[in-house]
Amino acid sequence: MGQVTIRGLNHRYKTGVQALRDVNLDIGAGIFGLLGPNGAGKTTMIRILITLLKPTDGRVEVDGLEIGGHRGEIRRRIGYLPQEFSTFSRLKTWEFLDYIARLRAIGPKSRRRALVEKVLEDVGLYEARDRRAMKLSGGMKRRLGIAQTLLGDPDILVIDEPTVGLDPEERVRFRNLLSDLARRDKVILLSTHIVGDISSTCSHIALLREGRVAFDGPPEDLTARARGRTWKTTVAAMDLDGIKSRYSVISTVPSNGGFEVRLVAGRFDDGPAEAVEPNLEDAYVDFMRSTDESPESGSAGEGGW
Amino acid sequence: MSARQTISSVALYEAKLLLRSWGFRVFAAITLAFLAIVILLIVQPAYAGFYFGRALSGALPMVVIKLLNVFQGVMAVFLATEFIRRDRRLDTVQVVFSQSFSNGQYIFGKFLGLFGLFLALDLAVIAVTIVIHVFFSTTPFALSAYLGAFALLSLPTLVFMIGLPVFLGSLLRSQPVVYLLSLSLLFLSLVIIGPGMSSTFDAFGFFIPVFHSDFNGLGPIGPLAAARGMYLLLGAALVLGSIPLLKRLPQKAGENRRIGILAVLLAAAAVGLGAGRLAGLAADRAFREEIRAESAGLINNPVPALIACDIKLKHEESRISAEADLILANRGDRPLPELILNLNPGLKVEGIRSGNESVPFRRRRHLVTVAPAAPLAPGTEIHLTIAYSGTIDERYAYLDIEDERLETPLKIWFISVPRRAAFLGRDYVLFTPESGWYPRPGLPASLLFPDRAGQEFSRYTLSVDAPASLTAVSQGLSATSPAGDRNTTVFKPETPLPQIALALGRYEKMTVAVDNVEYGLYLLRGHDRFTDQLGEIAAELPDLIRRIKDGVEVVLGLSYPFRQLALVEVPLGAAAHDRRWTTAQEFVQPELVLLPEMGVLNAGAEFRPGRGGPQAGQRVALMQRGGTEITPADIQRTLFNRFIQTNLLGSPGAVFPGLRASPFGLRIQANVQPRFNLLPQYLTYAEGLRMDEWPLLGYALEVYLGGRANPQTIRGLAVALGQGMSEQERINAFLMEHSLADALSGAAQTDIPLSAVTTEKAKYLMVLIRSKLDREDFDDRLVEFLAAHRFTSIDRKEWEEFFSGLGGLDLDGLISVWREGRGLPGFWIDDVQSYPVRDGERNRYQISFRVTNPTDLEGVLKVDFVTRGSQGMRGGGGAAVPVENRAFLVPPRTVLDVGLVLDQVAVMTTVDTVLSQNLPAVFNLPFSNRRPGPGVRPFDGVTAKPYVPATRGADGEYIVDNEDEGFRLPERGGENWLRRSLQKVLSQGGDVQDTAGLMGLINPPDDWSPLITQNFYGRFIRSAFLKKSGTGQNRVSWTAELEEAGDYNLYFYHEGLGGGMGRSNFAGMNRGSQAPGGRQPGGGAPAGGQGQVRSNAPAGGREQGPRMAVQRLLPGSKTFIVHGPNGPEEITLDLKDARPGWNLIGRFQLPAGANTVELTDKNEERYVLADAVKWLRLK
Repeated sequence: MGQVTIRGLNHRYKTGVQALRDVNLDIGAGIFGLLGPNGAGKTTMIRILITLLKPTDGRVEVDGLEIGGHRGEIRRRIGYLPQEFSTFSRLKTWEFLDYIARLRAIGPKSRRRALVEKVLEDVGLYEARDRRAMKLSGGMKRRLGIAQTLLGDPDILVIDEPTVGLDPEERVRFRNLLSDLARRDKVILLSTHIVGDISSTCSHIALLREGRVAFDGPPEDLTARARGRTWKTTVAAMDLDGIKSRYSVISTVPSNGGFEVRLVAGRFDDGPAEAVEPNLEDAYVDFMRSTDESPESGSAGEGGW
Repeated sequence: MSARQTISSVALYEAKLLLRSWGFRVFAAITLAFLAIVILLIVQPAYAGFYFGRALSGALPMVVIKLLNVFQGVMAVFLATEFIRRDRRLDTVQVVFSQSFSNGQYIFGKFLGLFGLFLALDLAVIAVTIVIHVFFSTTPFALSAYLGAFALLSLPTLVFMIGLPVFLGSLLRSQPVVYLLSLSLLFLSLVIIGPGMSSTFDAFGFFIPVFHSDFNGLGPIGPLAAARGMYLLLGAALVLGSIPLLKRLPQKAGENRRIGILAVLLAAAAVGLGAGRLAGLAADRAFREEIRAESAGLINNPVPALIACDIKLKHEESRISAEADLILANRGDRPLPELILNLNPGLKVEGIRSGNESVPFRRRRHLVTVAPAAPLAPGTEIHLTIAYSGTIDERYAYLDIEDERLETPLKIWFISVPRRAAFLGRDYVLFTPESGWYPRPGLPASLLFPDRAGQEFSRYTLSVDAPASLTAVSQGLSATSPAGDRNTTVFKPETPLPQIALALGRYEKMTVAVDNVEYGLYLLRGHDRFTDQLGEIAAELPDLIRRIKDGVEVVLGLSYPFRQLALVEVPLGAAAHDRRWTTAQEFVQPELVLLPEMGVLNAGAEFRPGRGGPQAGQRVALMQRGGTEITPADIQRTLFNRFIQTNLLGSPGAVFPGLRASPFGLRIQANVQPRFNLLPQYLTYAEGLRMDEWPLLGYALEVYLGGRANPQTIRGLAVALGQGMSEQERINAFLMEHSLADALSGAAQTDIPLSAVTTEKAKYLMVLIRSKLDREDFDDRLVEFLAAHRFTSIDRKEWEEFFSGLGGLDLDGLISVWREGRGLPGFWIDDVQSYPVRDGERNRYQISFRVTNPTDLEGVLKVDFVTRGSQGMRGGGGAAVPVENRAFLVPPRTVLDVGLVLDQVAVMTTVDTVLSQNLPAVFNLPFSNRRPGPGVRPFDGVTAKPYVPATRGADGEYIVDNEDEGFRLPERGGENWLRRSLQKVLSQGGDVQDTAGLMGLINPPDDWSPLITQNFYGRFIRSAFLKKSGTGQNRVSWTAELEEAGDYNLYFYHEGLGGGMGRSNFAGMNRGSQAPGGRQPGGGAPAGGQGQVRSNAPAGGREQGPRMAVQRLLPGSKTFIVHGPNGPEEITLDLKDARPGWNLIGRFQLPAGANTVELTDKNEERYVLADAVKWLRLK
């Protein structure tokens, strides 16, 4: 079973951009969601974790092994799906997996072949095994990316923005797959800016904002913070823009007489509104909005407000 | 995961990806197709120029692999940089980079993938080549030739050309920049620096001399392995060096540092190999210089004469052990306390005895200084037995030849063969005297000349103990006795000899005895392609040989002096160079002619009839008069005769008409001029022609008597074509400023081969001597004298007696002036006539001409006649033999009227100005067969009168030639440098000539370029400027200062080339012209008839001289622009009916002062010639 420990992680790029500031996290078995807007530092953290980037400062351990001194061993334990994943366009699907399987020292040939076929089946690509990568759809490529992370049964899976570009059906399939994986006692670090990817699966989430950990805890805790601050109301069409400008609107659904609006705010003063049970998305938006309003809040490891 | 697994996985998929790329597929297909075409062109017999490829087992592998190297070098640059593009795409590479392997394994895997792919392509190409080689050609096959070329050339280049872009790509991360740098290096290596510095910077192995010979394989490959190993190591260093540059954190700490250090070490080792190679070359040069320096002080030391030399030699794989019994005599007048001998420095002297007594000696480099118990008194002899053993240090040979020339390999197209002065290996031995393989008194000729030039004759015997599988060849008839698995062969030449040589190899011997001489052919086992080619005439070979021999000896006046003449096949890399003291190259030894492998340096060695000609076994009807049938025997007879005439008797490089030389006009020729002429057998090795007092007399005699056996007329075609004019021009320019003494001493820096200068001067000396003696029987008396002095040195006193018997001559004074004199005379020849004349009761034939020497130096002319009835004297299609020749001394500032009366009509008359400013120096005299007036008496003799220079503009005539000041060329346009560079690469082996005689008309140059043949107008230099036709914008001009205004006829000089059938092809000199219709500005009838010209040659004269194959090169038209007082006037003249000589442009009214005529390059045909223009004031 894997365990990732991050203490005092800092990273400053040569351009002067401070991508991570004093990050402390403990990531154990199950799906760990890493949320944050674009540019928050998620990908930087991931690249450090999978030993493709050397941190400026701090300590990262994987199963007790410090990444600076044990890169080989750590690389062996991690399966990685990058944010933008493509593959060698002239290789067939099975060939690509075979290549990765070889690099993962999976052998002999018969065993490797059996494993490749299994993961292809797992991700629903068995029928496309002889198709060249350039002929796969976006969703199929993404599934192929998942498939290669599964090769060799690594203890830790790091998945960066897994559902970008996928259609809803593919997304559902992907989430189900992740759930199955979570049941196998693996550490799955899921980095995304799409709340829906983690709301149903994660046992623990961290929110990154401008390189810092703004929140670290179970999703319920984040959701609880938005209780009493999540509202549902109906507004006339002509008032919608005004509402959007004053409140953090989560969703707008057309209805009789206007729009049914779901929003988060400390209070709603523009007409009748019903307080509703917040979900993770509500809580995320509320959290990010409130840290926007009070920049001195949101220190590492603590909640937003 | 093991490193091996990672590397093989990365390699496998790298190769797959590249194999699936269109770039690789297209390149590979083009490479395979192109090389297959090249191979097929070589092996199929249509092109004579590719004979070397069909004959030598090592040629095809070398050509294919060298070309393949270039292709794959280019390909590697493009494909190796693919990974930069791929690896920059993080989306793909991150997944790979996050796996557990070291950077080194990754890079090495990528390298191996690329390398494996190219290896597969190489093997595919080699397999295709081998299939064609084995199944579709008769070329001998040796797998080791392929393997050797592959290992030494392909592999290092491949590693380097993959490593370089991989490294540069990792460093610069820019594909276009990597392309630029890598391809620039490729270009530099192939075109600019590759061949220099003994190919040390030849990354592609394109120029480095390496060749697999059936005689001795690749030979000593140590230096070669070092040179190529340099690129292998450098390539490996570059691959390693790219590992730390990979943008991925290393798997382990310190990995990058360790690899970086290893890369630096490998690079240092590579540089060390390269520096070692260069240092080795420098050390070799220094070694030779030390020998020269050490010998310099000994040149004038008295040396004993070698009376006899008996050598017992044992061949022991790559070394020899020998014992030489020498009888040395003191022929001087002072005792000799020490005896200096020279022996190759690679041979260790084990001991020296005199009788049973050991004799002390000192050995230093090449010198063996023997100190006998008592000084050797004058007139006494001493016997010494010298035991020695070891190997041959080839640096000792050719100490008189410049290092650069020695280091230049033999090149035939893409093949570069290392030249060796000696061979000593398990399977083959070749020793010529140049290698110093046996002890000889004093210093070798290479160190002595010109201070000392003596030559002596000694009795030699040689006994060779060698494995039974090897056959020994040397001077003298041999007897072989077996002893177990070895043989002892004893050679006992019947005559004294100046030197001996030894060849030992797996020879097959074929002999035929003709009139007391055994003619032998020694071919390496498996190399006999010739007896089948000549099967039809096998029985008549003795007759053929006899006829050829008699033909030579009748003309030469000397008989073959030995009991044996053997043609011995030797490795292609056997070196031979021109020497200053003899015309013989090392290929010609007494009784032996060494012919490089399969005769690839000989003309016509393939023994094939011309293209379209009948094949062996085919009888065909000859489509000529009488419908005579030619049989295969006729063909073989012709081919045999031609081979002997061209290679052994005539000048090398004769054209075999009918055979296509090579496809697409490629120049395929060797970069050497080997000589196999048999003349040295009659002269150099049978006569002691060289002497200390007159060191060049021997050379002069060889050249002169060689000319007797092979007069210029036989080389008529080459002469008429004007080939070699550019070298002649340079020799003349040199001799105008420098003397022969300057040339010999090296005081005058020049890149003209010294032998070219000495040959010209040598010829001149003999003709000068002959003309001063004024004896028609000079030649006959000379050969009589030589025949009476065979196998002995001729001393000064004997020469002086000989010349005094012919009328007396201050030979000393004459030779001194000849050596030290500078400058050259020049001649104008005109007023040439020939007509029948009645001499008493007999019909005879008169030839007369006038020769003017306007210079301050005396000169000589030699005139050779070929008369009707003498053609065909040499059997089987040999060239005609001149019956008569005369030599004339032409004093300075003198006009000679020369008359000659012959018994037969002269079919061709050649004038050789011997050594003059004239270019060409040799030309045919044209004649006009006019009927003489009644009562004309024959005139045989010479009348002389002083030369009075004509004032310019005398008789109102002004001539401006292209050699004169008044002629102007336009500014030279941008030359096609790229075309020249490409031509240089494709024409490997031969220099790109700028004036290749009249053959330049076939491919005229883009800019006005000089051309010299006798057809053109000129005082001494008969030249014109040639250019490809253009739009008319490019013009040359002639300007004359006319003294008076008036009406002038304007003429241009037409060379008379091309034109229709039956048209005369050779211009006369200063002939009169017909004016077919010049245009006159004022209207009126076209001017006809002759202008007021000097010569009075009538119209309708018939030309002499060989017909030329330029009928297709029509002259077209000429467009002149005459600048008159009314402005420029353009006149276009159709040259279809123009006669050789002066042709009228038109009549013009011109003012006094500068008057200009321009010629444009406008012509509907291929070329334009600009020669001379004449203004003639009409009275």
